[in-house]
Amino acid sequence: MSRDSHFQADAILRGAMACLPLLPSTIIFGAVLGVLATQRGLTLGELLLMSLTVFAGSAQFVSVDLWRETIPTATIIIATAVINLRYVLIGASLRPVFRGRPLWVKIAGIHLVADENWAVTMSQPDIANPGFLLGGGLFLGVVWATGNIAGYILGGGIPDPQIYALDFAFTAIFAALTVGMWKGRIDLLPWVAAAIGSIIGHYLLPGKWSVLAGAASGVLVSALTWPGNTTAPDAKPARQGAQNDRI
Amino acid sequence: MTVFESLSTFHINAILTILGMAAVTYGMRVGGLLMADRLPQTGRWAHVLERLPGAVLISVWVPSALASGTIGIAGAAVTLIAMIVTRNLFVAMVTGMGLVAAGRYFIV
Repeated sequence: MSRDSHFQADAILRGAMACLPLLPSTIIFGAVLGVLATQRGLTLGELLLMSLTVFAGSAQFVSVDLWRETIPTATIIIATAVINLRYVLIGASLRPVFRGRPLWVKIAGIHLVADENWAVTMSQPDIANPGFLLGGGLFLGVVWATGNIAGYILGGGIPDPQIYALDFAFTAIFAALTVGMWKGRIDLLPWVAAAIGSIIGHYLLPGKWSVLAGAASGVLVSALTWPGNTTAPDAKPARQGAQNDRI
Repeated sequence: MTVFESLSTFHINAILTILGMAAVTYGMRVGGLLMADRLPQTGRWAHVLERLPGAVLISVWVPSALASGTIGIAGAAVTLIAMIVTRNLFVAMVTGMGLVAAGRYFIV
């Protein structure tokens, strides 16, 4: 009974429905990954195990691409760690969703978190709902695995995602969801900083480091633009520092 | 190998590699959440955490739009405008994708 209050059935359903627009792109990219996996020698069982335990699209594409008959285990795990570093920030930003929930809810609810259901959840007016987040994760997991299986069975007969701009669906969804996260002018400078940081990172850094460059710029600027900047608690450490200098 | 055989065949090195990938990824998800729980609920850190989702999200899609070229940048701009006007996720997404698909078909 107490479980119901943390992951309510209607919240799970609403979370799944909210991710419905992502169905075509997720299934096609899941199928593309399935085709790639057959070429690299992963069995379907292994790919499904990966899709449900790792559950991170871009890291899976890179890992399957690196996969050989003699598996470069260390290279693959390091690449996965680098690409998925952003999940530290995504996990941190989920604090309000899990606020006041027991530890087991956090441990269970944080696994099925992809960029997509995270972004959909964070743009909700009432985000304090781990069931909504889980619903999106379960939906995406089922669709992602279904795509993998379809890719294995169909082999090469998968439509090119570029033709219907299905590859752009993720960019479009994320851009649109950003609008819902706007909380007022306080967001302006951190957001501009994040955009500039990610653009610089895109041109200067390899792979997914642009995400971290942008997020770091946003964090830095939001720390500097904290409206409480001039109040007493903040002035204290400075005064202490000055005293230490004199000593 | 039939689909069923492929579904039920596992190699020990593959399983270990996959579990290693899963462990680092889950570690980052749960580590970020539990770390944030230890940060203060008010003040500068709370303010930064509130800005974090927007900053991460922007940093995810802005480079992808750039990587799609001029049509990708136009597509992202149109998506943003459609979302601000309609406040409908599906309409905004289809508008952006439609522009990109049309641009690729007619221009590239």
